[in-house]
Amino acid sequence: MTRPQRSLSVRARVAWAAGLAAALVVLVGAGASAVTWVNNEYQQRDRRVDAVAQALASAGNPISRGQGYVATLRSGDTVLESTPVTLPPAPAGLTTEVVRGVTYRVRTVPADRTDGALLSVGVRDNPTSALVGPPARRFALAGAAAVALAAVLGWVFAGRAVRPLRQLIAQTRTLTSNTYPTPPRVRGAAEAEELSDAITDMWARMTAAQDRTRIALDSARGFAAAAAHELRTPLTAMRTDLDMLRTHQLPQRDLDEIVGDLIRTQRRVESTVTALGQLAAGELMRPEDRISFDVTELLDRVARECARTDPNVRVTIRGDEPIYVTGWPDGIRLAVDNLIRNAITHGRATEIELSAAPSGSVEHGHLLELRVDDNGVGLPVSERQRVLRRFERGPHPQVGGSGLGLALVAQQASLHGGTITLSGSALGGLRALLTITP
Amino acid sequence: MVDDDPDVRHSVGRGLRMSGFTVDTAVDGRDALRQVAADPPDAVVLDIQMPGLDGVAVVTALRAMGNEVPICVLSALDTVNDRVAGLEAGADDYLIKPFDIAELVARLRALLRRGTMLQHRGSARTIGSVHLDPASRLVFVDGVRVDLTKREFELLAVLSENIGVVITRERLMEQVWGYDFTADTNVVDVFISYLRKKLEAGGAARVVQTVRGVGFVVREEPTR
Repeated sequence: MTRPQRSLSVRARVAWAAGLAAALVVLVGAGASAVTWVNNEYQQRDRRVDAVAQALASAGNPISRGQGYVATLRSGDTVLESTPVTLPPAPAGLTTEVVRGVTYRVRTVPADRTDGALLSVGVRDNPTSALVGPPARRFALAGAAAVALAAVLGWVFAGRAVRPLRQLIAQTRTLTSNTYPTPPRVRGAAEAEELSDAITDMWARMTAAQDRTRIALDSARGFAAAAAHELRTPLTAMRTDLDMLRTHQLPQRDLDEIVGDLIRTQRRVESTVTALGQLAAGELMRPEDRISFDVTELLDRVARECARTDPNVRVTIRGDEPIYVTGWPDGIRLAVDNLIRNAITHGRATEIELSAAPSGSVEHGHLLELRVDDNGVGLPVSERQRVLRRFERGPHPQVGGSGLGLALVAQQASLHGGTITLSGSALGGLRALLTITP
Repeated sequence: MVDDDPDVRHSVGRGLRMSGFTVDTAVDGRDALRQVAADPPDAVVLDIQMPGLDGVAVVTALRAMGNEVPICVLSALDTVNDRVAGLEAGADDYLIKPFDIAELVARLRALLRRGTMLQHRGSARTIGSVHLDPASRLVFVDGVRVDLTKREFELLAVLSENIGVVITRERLMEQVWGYDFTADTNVVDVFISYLRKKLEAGGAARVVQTVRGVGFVVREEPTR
């Protein structure tokens, strides 16, 4: 695997920066030193020429002993006396003269004579480069050494500074999605500590999200397996019946029985598929689809629908005051429908009473209670919890049940922030108490 | 016929009855054990997934009591693989729901015809580290006794009667289960995998070899 080109490491950057800073310091220092050095040299030279001029001016025959200097004694335009190198005429004071390609610093003073002659004394003026040259070379060597040292020290200390970062990298690399190692913890540099805290936080959030996904997936897998089993069971019965029809010559009585069973089992598959669809839809209900609606009116509609499909069952509604709640009306409708269907199919009820009333207990907040009472066979206390779970059936399962009806009610109850409780009813059968947050 | 679902119990029971069997139905594992004890059947068709006492528990209980009645389990597997609950506990055969009732009928007839015990001739034999004694119906691997279910033992006995001779799945179906009709032979592979698991549990070298496209053979050296 080829890695993309990495940027320069922090360590190398620090080493570079230290070297550059040292180089800058060396350069500025060298410049300043050179200027001071040269000025100092010039002052020395001027003092020297002054000293020579003073000595010659007061001596008797000064020029003949010229050694290391040139001098010219001039009166007006006439050269009275001179060293082999004759300085040009100059006014009194300090001047720089060039004679035959050589530069001289010249001091011109009145000679100690009566004719007013002027004595010019010159010393060789070395060029600046000649002055600065030798010390500059030494300085350059020392500077280079300083720069190199700074870079090396930068490298060493930066290495120590980034060690927590390196540890963090190593620790973070060991984090994998399928284990729960301790998240990285390093000490030693504020930035590394902050980074480690940030990674720890992120890791915690990620594992939490992963856990949620895993739980959701597990539940989906369990649901899929249970759903497959629920469908395969009636399909097994249907397959057997169809095989019998196909391979046997059966008398009319048996034929009618088998076909009747086939139709009933087919309805069971249908109702299971419908309920599975409704359960899945319940999982997907969106908060923005909640609306305010009248529960009493909804109960009335459910009762009228039931009177049409099951004319032998009497459904009554207690109370006719409108009660408004905010929720998914389709969901509540589905829940009440299933409770009525449960009472008729499994409880064999002939009389069902629906009621809705707010329950006012302060500590539990204000809830709305929907009651479905029936005069059916009821349910043993030990079964009242179990039948609320998915694919669980009562002690006398009826042909055609999906095993999902009460699970759908429980789902709607929890979606509406409430619960479903089964208990005995004053009518003699079962009471289903569905609470929802209004 | 044991199944917790009334539709399946009713339909499969009726199908078997119409195919000439006398059928008693049981609604769960406990009911099944009670009925088997009260009125021993000639064969049991058993659903695996049941609330309370499930099919595996029923097979285990029956075999523990020394009851060798032929048992065909009904499994609800999504995919056919080498793990069928109930077979390891000692069931004889399995069908996956939904199944062809004609196949169930054929298999039950064969199991009933074959009876509960096969008579194996031949002397005690040793293949690699595996030692099989037909007289006492015992199998040892490296001197340690290995508990095999009836079908596992018979499978190994048939295969080891002719060491080095490849036997087809169809022939094994016929010899071990008495199936003389064309049927799904996957049950052979499932039992072979259980047999291997038990024989090789202690790290012994494989003696039951697969000959791809043909069948199985017992020999000491692994095929290269």
